[in-house]
Amino acid sequence: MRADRRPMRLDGGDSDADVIRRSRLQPGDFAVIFRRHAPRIRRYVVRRVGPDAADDVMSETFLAAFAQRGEYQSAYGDALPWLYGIATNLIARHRRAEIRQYRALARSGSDPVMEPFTDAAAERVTASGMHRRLAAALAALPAAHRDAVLLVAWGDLTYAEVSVALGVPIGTLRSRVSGARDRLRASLADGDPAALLDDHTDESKDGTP
Amino acid sequence: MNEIELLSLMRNDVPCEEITPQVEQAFLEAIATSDLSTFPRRQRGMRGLRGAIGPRARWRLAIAGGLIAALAAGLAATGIRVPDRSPGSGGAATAPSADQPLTLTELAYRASAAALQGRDISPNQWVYREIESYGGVGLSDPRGVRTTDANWMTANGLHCAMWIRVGGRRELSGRECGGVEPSYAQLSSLPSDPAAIDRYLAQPGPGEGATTALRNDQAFFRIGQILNIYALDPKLTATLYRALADIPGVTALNDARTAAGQAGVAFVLPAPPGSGLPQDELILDPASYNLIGWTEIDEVGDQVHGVPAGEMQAASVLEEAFVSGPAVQP
Repeated sequence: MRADRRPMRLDGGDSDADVIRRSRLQPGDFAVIFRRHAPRIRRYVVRRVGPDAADDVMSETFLAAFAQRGEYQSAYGDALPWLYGIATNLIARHRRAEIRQYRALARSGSDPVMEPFTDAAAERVTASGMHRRLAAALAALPAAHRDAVLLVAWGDLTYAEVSVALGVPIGTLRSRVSGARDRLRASLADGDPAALLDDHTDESKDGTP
Repeated sequence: MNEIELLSLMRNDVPCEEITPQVEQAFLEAIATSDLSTFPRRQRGMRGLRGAIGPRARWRLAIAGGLIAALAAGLAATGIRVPDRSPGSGGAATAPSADQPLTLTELAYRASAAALQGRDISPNQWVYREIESYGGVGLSDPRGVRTTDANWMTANGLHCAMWIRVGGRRELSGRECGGVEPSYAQLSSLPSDPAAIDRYLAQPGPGEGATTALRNDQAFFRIGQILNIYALDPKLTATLYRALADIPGVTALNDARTAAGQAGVAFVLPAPPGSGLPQDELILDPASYNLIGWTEIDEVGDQVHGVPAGEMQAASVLEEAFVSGPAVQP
């Protein structure tokens, strides 16, 4: 999953840090950052708050990033975690709608976020019981824990990258993800223990043995 | 397959669509203006148009405005109005007692009266807050999660700072941050009448229905956010407390308690049966009537689908004070 998660650099190959540094003098260069990362940022935001709010959050994310480009730490070559962090902070303003959608999914099995992506009304998305339970658990998580675990699962970031994205120490981040995973695991185990028989300990994201 | 992998499959069918030249051009035009701070903020009624990047895209730079990244998610939703710390402020009112419980009208009156004793606050006044967030099923849930965060934010919610650790070194991370709607600047154009404020704030967000229950919930939640995030002028704070009491269904709770254990009195909006909404509690200190907590409780739950009765999320203010700048401890 990690191997192909970064988009191909078809726009010159400069690192994000190089582009951002250049954009301080040539603002138009920031469009490269937009082109590289907007699709992934928007997809993440859609998964969290649905397409209605996603366009606003995505556009605000890149406007904010542009405004803050002077503060970007060039030590981070890849701007994606930084952008995810901004987007996640903006998602906070839609927290209640996000939770409501998780609860709707948990209760009815119909996912309001996925409805626009079905071809016909007759093909309304009906989520599996597993996803309904996960949705219920997500709704119950503290916001900081939900942000952390969803940046790992949906943003496809490593723990270190999420730490950068959220601006929290890696230890704090690990604690939050661990707490979230406990809740998610418990919600799944309550309903179908067999669903988790394979493996409960995936530390590949953590980069530690 | 572990829980992270299972979670990664959820909503995995959302497409990752490439940026069209038109959308990129719109972005270029927006940043070419350079002065993002002059962009108007989003306006109600201009949101909610569905569309993905591509032919259906709507690039909303014109209405997106210079909204800037907020604080960490939990924090942005849980900051607390800062009381006036000057002598004689706030705590002049009498605390309710068990044999003399407050009615909703009395609670609104006392909270408003206490707010009016505060002093005017500069929009750039820095405020230090230490907030405890909690999520769990009831307060004694062994799986419940508590998180404490400290931060600095200006009264208008535009500038934030917090300590972060970079490469083993502690650094103060300062940034611009966004708040809630309406923005601090827009607060001055809120109606002056509490009932009109309720009507204004009750308008549903994009993609949300417009049932009476949802409108009431929306008004309560938004007033709570405004009180939480900003340090407001006394008159507006007082009006907002009266507006809370005017929302249909709101009651007073005399023996409220924050998730951190602080006793308080609360404005409560119970969830109508079958609404799927949580019960909201906005908790005030019983002596000073300063805001000390916010709790959302799903009293009913949904055992069939894994939402336990009593599931709650809460925020409690452990400490808050005006300070001279970021990184300054009270």
